[in-house]
Amino acid sequence: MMSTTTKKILAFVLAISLLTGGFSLVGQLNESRRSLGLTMLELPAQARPDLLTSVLFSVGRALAVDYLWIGLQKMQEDGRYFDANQRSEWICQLQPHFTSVWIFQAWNMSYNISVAMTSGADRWRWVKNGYELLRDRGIPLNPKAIGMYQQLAWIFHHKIGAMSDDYHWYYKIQLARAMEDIIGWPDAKYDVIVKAPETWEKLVADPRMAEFVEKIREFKIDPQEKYLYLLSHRGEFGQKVIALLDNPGYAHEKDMLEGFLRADRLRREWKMDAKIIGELRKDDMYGPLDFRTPEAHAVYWSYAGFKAVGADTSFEALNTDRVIYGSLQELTRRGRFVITAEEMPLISPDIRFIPVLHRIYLSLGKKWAAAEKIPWDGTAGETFKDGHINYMKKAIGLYYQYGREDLAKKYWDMMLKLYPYAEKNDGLEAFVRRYVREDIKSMGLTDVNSTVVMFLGQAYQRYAMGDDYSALAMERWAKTIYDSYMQGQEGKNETGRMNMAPWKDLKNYAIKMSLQSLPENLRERLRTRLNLPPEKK
Amino acid sequence: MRKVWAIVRLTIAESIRTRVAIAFVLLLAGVMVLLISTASGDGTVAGKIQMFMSYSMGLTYFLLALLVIFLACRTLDQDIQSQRIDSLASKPLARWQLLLGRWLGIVLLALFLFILSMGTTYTMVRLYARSAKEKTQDKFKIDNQILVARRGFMPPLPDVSGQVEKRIAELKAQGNMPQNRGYTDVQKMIGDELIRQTRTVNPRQQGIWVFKGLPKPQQGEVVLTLRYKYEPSITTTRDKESNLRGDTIYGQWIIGRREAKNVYITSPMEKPYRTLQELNIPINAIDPDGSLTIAFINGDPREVAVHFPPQDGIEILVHEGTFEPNFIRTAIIIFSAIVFLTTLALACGTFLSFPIASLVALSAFFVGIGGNFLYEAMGKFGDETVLNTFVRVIGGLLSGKDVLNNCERLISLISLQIIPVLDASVFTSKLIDGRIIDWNDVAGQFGNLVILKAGVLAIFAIFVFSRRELGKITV
Repeated sequence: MMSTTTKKILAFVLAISLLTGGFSLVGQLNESRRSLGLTMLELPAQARPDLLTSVLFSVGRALAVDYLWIGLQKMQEDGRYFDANQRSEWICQLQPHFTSVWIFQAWNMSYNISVAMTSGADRWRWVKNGYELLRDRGIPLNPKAIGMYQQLAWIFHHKIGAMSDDYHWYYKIQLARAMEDIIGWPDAKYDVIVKAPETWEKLVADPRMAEFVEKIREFKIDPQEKYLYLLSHRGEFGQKVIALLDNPGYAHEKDMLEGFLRADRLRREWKMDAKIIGELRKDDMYGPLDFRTPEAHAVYWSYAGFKAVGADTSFEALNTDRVIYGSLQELTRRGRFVITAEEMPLISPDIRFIPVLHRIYLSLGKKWAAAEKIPWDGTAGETFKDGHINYMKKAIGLYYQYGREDLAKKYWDMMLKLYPYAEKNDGLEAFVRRYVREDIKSMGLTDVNSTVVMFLGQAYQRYAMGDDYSALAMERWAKTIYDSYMQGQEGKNETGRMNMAPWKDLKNYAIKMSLQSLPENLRERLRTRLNLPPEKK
Repeated sequence: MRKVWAIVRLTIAESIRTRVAIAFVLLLAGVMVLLISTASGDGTVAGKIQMFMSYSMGLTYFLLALLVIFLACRTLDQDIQSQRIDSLASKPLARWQLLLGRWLGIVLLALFLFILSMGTTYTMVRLYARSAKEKTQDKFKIDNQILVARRGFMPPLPDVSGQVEKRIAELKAQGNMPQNRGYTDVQKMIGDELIRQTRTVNPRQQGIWVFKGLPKPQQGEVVLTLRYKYEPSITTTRDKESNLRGDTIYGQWIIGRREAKNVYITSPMEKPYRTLQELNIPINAIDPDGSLTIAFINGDPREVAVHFPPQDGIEILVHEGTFEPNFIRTAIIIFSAIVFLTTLALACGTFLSFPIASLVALSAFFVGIGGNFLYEAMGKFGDETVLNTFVRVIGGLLSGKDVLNNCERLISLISLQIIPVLDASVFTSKLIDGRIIDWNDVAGQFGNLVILKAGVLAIFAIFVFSRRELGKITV
């Protein structure tokens, strides 16, 4: 007969053995749960102790949420915003898997609170608070909620990217400046960023890289903290350091280290994965996305959402698709973005996105036809066809204005093949004239005049920058609008009251305006190229 | 008085010996450290200061309130439970002296902790303010909108009594007087409508308001703030309001008389409605006689009439004093509430056991701090006065209709009428918005909470405690 003490000892040993065995299986079980998609979220690094509030408040949570929400509403009505960010975060943390709450609070900060601010810096801070709430806190807790990705993408696409906010230029410049610092500018380092290993350990596992890093350390420079600074401020370091950087034997290591550090900043500061950026920028994906533009971020987060969720045909997924093609449309219209030394933004179309978006439209047609279980007819489908037709017309117009009649013709033919009812088949030239005329039909004299002057101004600005091809396109665009308008006035306007000024006068006016708005170096350049006398000092 | 001081010393010594006070000091210190390390506000130094002040003063008040309730409810109960009261009662010490000593001991202990906490708050606020970069918008806001004492001026409401009477006479003559409303209600309704019209600016029109009695113009930096909040007028249809992109309305302000040199004209601005906006303007916009004319031009192209609510639609804030006296006055008001709570809890302790006394005092405290919110949520019936509401509820009870609901409302009404509003945030909000809390406010709060309500409670407590049978077990 076993004594009680022996039984207790045996039971204790058994309990310890079973617990140890159980613990040893936890990792494996969690891995299986993750891989089989049985868990809502991976035990996140972002899970902070404050998330316990939702558990601790399980009884009074609704009351706490009501209290915080009413308080936030009241503060907002009273124009007191200092606590809004914190309260919004608390409200979300109390109901961490209620995605609508995250979406509402982010939208509230980016849209409602921001416009109550009077300076660009203040507004930008609230726009950022909004998207950071979703990006940094909401999405890590709800990685499968496509609606959150859609809202995040929408803030980039619409709040920052569109022109409805009084301070939209300020937002665009802030975003561009922040990204230029990370991706490198004017020579963006996407190639090395994409190729870089994911962790420091993997990076220095290569003996050559370890050696290179060690050599940097010998100069008492911390490679993780100071290397990017070193690259942009070479002059501040000694000859030996510069010699190391210029050593062709370490060219590959130099690129890899730079790529890693830039990718690491992208991950830490913008929560973006360099590998996804690499995927997106492929020709057969979304093309040459410039991550200084808000539209590229909108595409990134929409794509990241689909990548996390998988095939989704919900209404939110449809809206996410809309953000993608909306952003690509904007990139086509004004995807080239330059900020002058005077912080003046210059934009121009980027026709490289035309084939990209054309392909996306067709793939959306295919995707949603499959979702609705109907045969795909090779077009963008019922939902997107109007948008596709309009876009193709725009694309034809742009190619034509850019002097690429061959591509304009190609898209003209393609449009008539896909949508024979889209336009009267009376030739490309006639279409372009008609398109321009229709476009300006609703405009009054003032609108046409300012549009023509704007295009001419753009033409001279680009001429000053040496972008002659694009400058010529802009001038042609202005002339087409001018001619279309004047043709439309024939026979209607005997007194000449509605006539525009002569073409030559408009050009002179545009030159004068351009000279006023351009920075000094570009002004001088424009004067030289137009054979104008030098500026009086 | 020596006897009272002996009790005071005893009370403080007990609090320290039982480590209750120490626990609260540690808790308070922990809260301060947590706030200092985490307060970020909206990302600006100004926001950080506002958030820190709001939370540190609010939490200090809350924790001290709990401390005094706990100590005051416990002290007499402990005396009786431990039979120490027998030895005290046998001494030449009047019961009122015992009560006064206990009360004073707790109040002094709370005062010490309060000064400690307020001192830390003030020091941190000044340190934060010093960290703001010079000549930035942030610094400007701190100096001109937060760490100041500004007085608010509203445009005077027009006297519409004559027009009201005229309109009522017309309605009577036409036989159109509302049948289901009393004369006073109709008077108020018409008066409100007439005032509303004076606060509404139709499309492409301008509204002009003249402020009187402002401080005389001064030279120097911008120290005048126009706070405004507008909304589409009541006549705006839902369809029309849905056209307002981003819930905004276009408008333009003209501050000062158009013909004057010191006129200040803003560019047309698109601002969100139903949200308070601030506009900084030079103080020399005020005329030498202390008047200021402001005009709003409704330039919204969507043909929406703009309404400025009378309570917070238009206000001019003028610099009147400095932050420090304002801070001290706010602290006095907050501490008045602590004194009231001490008295209340002690009064409860005179005839209830510790758990029940704590429950009663805590309930009163929570009703008091939620007073404003609860009053709006439960106590009021539309625009009716409290008396009318009371009559209506009693009428409902007597008629036997909806008894439960009316009982609930009656209890709420009575509670809200008896228990004073103990919401410190009413005053801390003013402080962090740089609004003046003047000595009248302090006198009002001190008089109401300490002299009147705490005085009545003290008399009640002395009356009850003097007659209490100390050997009898209470529940």
